[in-house]
Amino acid sequence: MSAKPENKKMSKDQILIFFLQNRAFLLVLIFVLLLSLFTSTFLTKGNLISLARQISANGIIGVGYTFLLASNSVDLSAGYMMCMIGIISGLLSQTTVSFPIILLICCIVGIICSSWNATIENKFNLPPFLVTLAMQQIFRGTLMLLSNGSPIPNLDEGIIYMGQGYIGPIPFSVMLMLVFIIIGHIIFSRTQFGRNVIAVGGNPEAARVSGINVEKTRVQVAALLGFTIAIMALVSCGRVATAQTNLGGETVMDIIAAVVIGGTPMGGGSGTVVGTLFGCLVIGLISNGLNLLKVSSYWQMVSKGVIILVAVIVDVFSERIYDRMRNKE
Amino acid sequence: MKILEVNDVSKNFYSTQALSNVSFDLEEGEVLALAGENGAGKSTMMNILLGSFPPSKGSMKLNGAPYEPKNPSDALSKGISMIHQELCLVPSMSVAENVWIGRVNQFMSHGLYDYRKCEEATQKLFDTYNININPHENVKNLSTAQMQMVEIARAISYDSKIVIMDEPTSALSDKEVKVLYQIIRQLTSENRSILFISHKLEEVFELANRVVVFRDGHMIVQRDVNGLSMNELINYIAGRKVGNIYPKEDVEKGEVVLSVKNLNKQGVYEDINFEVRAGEIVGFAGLVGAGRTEIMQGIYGIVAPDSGEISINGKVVRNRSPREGLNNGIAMVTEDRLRQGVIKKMNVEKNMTLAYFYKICNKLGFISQGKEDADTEDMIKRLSVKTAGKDAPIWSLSGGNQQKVMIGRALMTQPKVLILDEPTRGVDVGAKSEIYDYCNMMAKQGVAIVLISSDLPEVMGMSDRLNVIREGKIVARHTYNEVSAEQIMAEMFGLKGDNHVS
Repeated sequence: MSAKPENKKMSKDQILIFFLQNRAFLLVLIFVLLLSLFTSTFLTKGNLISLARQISANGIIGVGYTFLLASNSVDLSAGYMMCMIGIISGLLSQTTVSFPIILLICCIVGIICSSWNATIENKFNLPPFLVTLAMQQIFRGTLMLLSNGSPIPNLDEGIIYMGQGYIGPIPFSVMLMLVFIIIGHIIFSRTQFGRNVIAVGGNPEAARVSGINVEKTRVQVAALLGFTIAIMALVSCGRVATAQTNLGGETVMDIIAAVVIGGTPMGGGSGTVVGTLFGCLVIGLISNGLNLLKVSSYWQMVSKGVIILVAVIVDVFSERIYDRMRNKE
Repeated sequence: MKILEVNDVSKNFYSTQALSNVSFDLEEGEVLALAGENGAGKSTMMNILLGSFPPSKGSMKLNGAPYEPKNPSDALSKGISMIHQELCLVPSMSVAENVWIGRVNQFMSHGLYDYRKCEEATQKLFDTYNININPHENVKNLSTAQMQMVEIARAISYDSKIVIMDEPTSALSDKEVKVLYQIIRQLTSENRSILFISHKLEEVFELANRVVVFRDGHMIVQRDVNGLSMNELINYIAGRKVGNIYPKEDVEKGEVVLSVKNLNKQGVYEDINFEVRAGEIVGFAGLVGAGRTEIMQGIYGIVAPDSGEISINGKVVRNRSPREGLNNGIAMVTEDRLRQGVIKKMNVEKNMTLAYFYKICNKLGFISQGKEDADTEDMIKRLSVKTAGKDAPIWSLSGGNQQKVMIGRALMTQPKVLILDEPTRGVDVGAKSEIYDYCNMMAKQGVAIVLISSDLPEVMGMSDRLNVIREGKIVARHTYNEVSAEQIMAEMFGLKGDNHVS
């Protein structure tokens, strides 16, 4: 008899957990519903494709960032690293170097810079937050030195295709993002590497004692992130046909927000690449929707900040619910 | 006059009974020693006195009035302070500020904090108790022993009626121990009472008026130290278990599997030599901190030893990481299940296969899901883990069943050598006997087993051979049923031969 009300309470918690775990998907549904009710332009083909293109760059780096957060790390330098790689691609475009070589060089730079962050964190046992905060300034300075502080137009055609090309009716960048999400999801959930990542994020000591090379896993995660940063840099430069110098700060905020809203916790130990896609959609819908509603871009900043804050609070809050369920045992 | 009375206090943590019906009392101005093995319930009792958590049952009285502390600062305001085993000082602050931490607002002049007043007060306190430390010094410049003295000074400075000391001499040199003894005598002459926890039984005889002995969460005895002999005290601490709850089976022994020669790690252990045969269980007894765990971590590869030779089946191996240890056929169940064992956010299956899944991956690194599922379900059945299924979150299992998952993790690697470090800690009686059954089962399959345990009857009851570790050395070797608990206890504590019970 006495067990009955407790069971009811348990299931209430379980419903709450279901909502929390699928929060990004639910948020997307709510936003889509509201926007199609209150604007006439939202559900047009043109707007939907431009929305998809807007989120494609974030979706690509979001894959790498999901692995990073799942391994209980963070990278504040990702945005300026992206800008720096964009500038490098812009400089290379002015020479006779062919597109595949540009692509290769950008990927190598991304992988090396990002692995460098992880190597320093490992070697000196420093928190990723501090290392990447410093590296962010280094990347920012380097990119200004390389570009003399001004954007670089006249990009290679390959780069422009990455940002603006179409395969049939679908933008190339959107296809690329979907490929990254699918492959990322498979790697995350089905391979040894994916399992190592959540073990390292969940309890590095236990992972080490069980034979997992924690340091190596962290460097591998960083290398993967660096690769996605490089691809993202080319896509986002290609979209505006210019290598920009000033996008770094905002990019990192958007990506962390997207990954956390998507359901990968700040503390690591679990993660979802598909969730990150929905997280990117939430962030994209906020900008897109507020644009359609003709809200000032300053208000967009404020509302994005609020959403990020709420996402982090929900993240902590769901941990508490788990704890509560745990303590009942 | 009785200042503190503890009546029938019990404490349960989930299904584990940490304390059952403990009663004792403390007189004004006396030194009461608390003795018992690790895990006997002393710390739990102290935490209840300090209000870290409430008792599940029973009551306490302070000065005749009911005493229900809500938290440590509430206990402090009611006159109970504690010197912790671990140092709880702020390294960047001065000695004086550490002593009066949280109370520096009593040293104000003109509305501002005056560090000179604080240091004067500290000097006065130090003079009273003969402590020779400069109050102005930064704590980070002190030696460990001096820090311990600062900690002691802080506990005294509260003017509390009861001071709890948890192994206060473990970090002190002989000179400072003498100062501490003086402090204790001075405190009792001021009619303050001391609760003194120590593993050094000589100290109990030197300092205490009375002693309370804990064993397995029970209060065994409270009596005057006067007229008590060392042998009697060890008898109380070690105890005699009724019947044999350890289902030791006679297993045929095979070849030597693990052989360890001259293993050294500076300042941790030295000159460790032992062998384990197939089907044999070799036990290691010793106090916490004697180096048992560190030796095994050295063999498995968690912290590599400085020198020495480890061979498996006659082949010399070097384990510089746990992965190398695993590849060489060693598996270890670590003592600290929370820190080095379970991954909270993973389910039962992923926790179970954590040390093994890399072996069932194809060349591209894809885990064979079918094999992982089948092997996990097989192991859940073999160890009869009580779980809603392999996909249940690990935290939904009881401590005992989590431990079974940890043992399953080790067994899945099909080890030649299985190291079990405190495998039954925090585990209920039912799961305990199941874990003993696994030991026998593995021994029968020809696995060489190393068993570390602080539970003396357990390690004596399960081991074919038993090594006693003290201060990083093997100080005695025994075979099954050859030796008494009292003698092993004496060896663990490092008492002279004439204290042995024959």
